[in-house]
Amino acid sequence: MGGQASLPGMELVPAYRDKVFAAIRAAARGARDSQRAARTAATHGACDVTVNRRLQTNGRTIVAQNWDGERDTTMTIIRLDDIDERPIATIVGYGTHPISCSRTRTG
Amino acid sequence: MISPDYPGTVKRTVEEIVVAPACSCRLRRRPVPREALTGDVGAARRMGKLIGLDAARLALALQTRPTTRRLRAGRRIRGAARPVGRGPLPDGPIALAIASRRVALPVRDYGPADALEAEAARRAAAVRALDKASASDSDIATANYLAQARGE
Repeated sequence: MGGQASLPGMELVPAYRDKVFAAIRAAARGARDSQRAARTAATHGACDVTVNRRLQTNGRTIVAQNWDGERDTTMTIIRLDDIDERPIATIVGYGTHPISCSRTRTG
Repeated sequence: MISPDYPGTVKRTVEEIVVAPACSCRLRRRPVPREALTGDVGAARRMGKLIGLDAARLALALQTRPTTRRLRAGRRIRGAARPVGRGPLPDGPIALAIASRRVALPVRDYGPADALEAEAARRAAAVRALDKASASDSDIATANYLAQARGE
């Protein structure tokens, strides 16, 4: 939750950051008291959504889809089940900037 | 993951199919989605659905196994900056719990929609009024930025 202090809306960040940290602490305390035995597995595969983002045009490099550029389509998955193999959680790792909407609304 | 873009759809898609809470992680300095910088919320939903379906497919194909702790205090694993563990770790099944909290994102006050629409139209008109043959790169870049900016 960083960013330049001069950007619009940055004055909202400190209070929001405090709320997030408090929520994380509360969740961790709640989880500590409800642990159960777990099974795990991990794997990796591919997802074809990602595209190289450095496009050379008119002697400049801009952020845009470079369809011929190198890219990493690797997707990593960790699955966590309870001892009876009922899913508890899934963790998804995939390297693509969340900027489908716009560069001014990234998260 | 907290994001107004595709990760939210990835999370919901995986949760609907795998029937368990999901967490979507991304790494910095990575490429962009096939549909990027579109200004279209639908693009985020489409990209998120595609990524979520691939993630759910991989997750459902996994067979989990009972897992025991194997790391010992002070052991250095490859790639780690420092040894792992402060004290002896007991052997035995991993214990796990999942907890989540919702935190509402703060929203800026942009003012009345009518005034915003009028301002957007004025800025767009300024872009269209530029003479491409004589305007400087700086003028074009500035007008383009102002046309896209919100609530400056």
